[in-house]
Amino acid sequence: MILSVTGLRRSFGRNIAVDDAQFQLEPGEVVGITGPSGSGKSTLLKLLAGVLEPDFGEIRLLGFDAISARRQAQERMAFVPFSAPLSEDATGEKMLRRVARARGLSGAEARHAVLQAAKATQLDEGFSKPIELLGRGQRRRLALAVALMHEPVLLLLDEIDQGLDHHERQGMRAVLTDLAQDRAIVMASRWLEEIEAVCNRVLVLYRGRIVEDRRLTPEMSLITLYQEAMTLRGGRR
Amino acid sequence: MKAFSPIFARELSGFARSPLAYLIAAMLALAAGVLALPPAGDSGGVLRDATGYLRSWPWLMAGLGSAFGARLWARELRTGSLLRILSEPTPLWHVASAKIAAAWLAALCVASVVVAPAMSAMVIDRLDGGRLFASAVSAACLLGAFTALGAAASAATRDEASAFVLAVAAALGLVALTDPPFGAPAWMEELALLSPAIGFAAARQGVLEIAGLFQSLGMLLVSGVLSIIALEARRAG
Repeated sequence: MILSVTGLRRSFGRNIAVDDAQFQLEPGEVVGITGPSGSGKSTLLKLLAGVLEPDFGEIRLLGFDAISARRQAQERMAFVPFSAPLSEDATGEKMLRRVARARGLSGAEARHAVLQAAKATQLDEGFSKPIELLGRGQRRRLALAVALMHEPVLLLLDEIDQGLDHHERQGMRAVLTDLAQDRAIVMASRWLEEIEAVCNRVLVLYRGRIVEDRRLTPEMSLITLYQEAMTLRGGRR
Repeated sequence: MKAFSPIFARELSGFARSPLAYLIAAMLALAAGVLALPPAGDSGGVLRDATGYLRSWPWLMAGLGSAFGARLWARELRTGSLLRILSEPTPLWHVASAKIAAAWLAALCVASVVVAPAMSAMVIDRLDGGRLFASAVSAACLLGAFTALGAAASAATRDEASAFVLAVAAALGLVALTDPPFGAPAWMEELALLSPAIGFAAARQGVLEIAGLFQSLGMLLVSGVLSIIALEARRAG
């Protein structure tokens, strides 16, 4: 098991953003987290990434406590936030080299890691062009490449598909499907089609609670599942 | 500290690309020129007042250090890159020390514009070079302390403007303490002993007091720790 989450809760004042979240993640699983705006998708990812601390609950990554041993956990996972800004003053390659140096890689090792990350994310013009000239799709791929530099076993992606056009989404789906071969992925998205295309499991959140946790099969309609889950709770998409 | 140099380089290049940094340098050059060689009324010449000019340095450093420090975390908060920093396995104190060191160096480069008018005033006023040297060293340490103070303010507040106002008010207050008005209560004199600017009066006379320098560096360290505490507190929300 890669990840185990038990009784996770996080509130902001009187607002409970994540309430009693519970799930396990096996290698090779690609989990989509979806739900209406404000249902706690991003907060759940931030809790898993160690950006926020839970009020209660337990997160275990590869068997050890990811809350008390946060840094060790962060060495094995990577988080791509919704707004992942990039250094505008560099090319993709230069930025990746900078990240490689920050990770303690140098020389041939750094060059190899940079090329591997660029290849895994199919970073084309994003590698050599100045970042300020890149479109949204290439920027997202670059943010993903940055996250891959320390070869995480768990990737946490917050709305990675947000703002991408149809063509860019198709490209991102291919990249994520490839990345899922070697690691587990948890991605939050409002787009059910994206989750259906990339994920093999879905968690539906409603007011901070996981109201559905299902394996996705080709016969299953995620839209129907989602609508049923929302109708049962009186929510709307 | 493997992350130190890439973060330091990134931050320094950010300052080099910031139009605000050049504007501050121009304003400082103008202020330094006027303070060093003030117009001498109807005669059309300039006054010879190197001693008075040196007296103004802590005030200039308070404004400059606060402006550069206030930018450090406010920008990360505004762009959302703080999320990525908090999700990285790199210890926060490595990131904070690299950022403060870069801001200090950038501020020192800008502060070097005060040296040229000082040398002019020194020649005209036949000021001892040792006094200029001691003042410059003491002012450089003071600048580090005020830059770190600005960084702490930016880690604790939500935007750059609030951070600057908070930091500059605190820095100017600390400088004012070392030059209390006539008849000020005794507690003000005792409080002045805590100010990093306390050693500058001796430096103006050409005496570098180690205790004064340590006081500046101590404040730099305390402010750095406060920055980290403020950032860690964001995880708890």
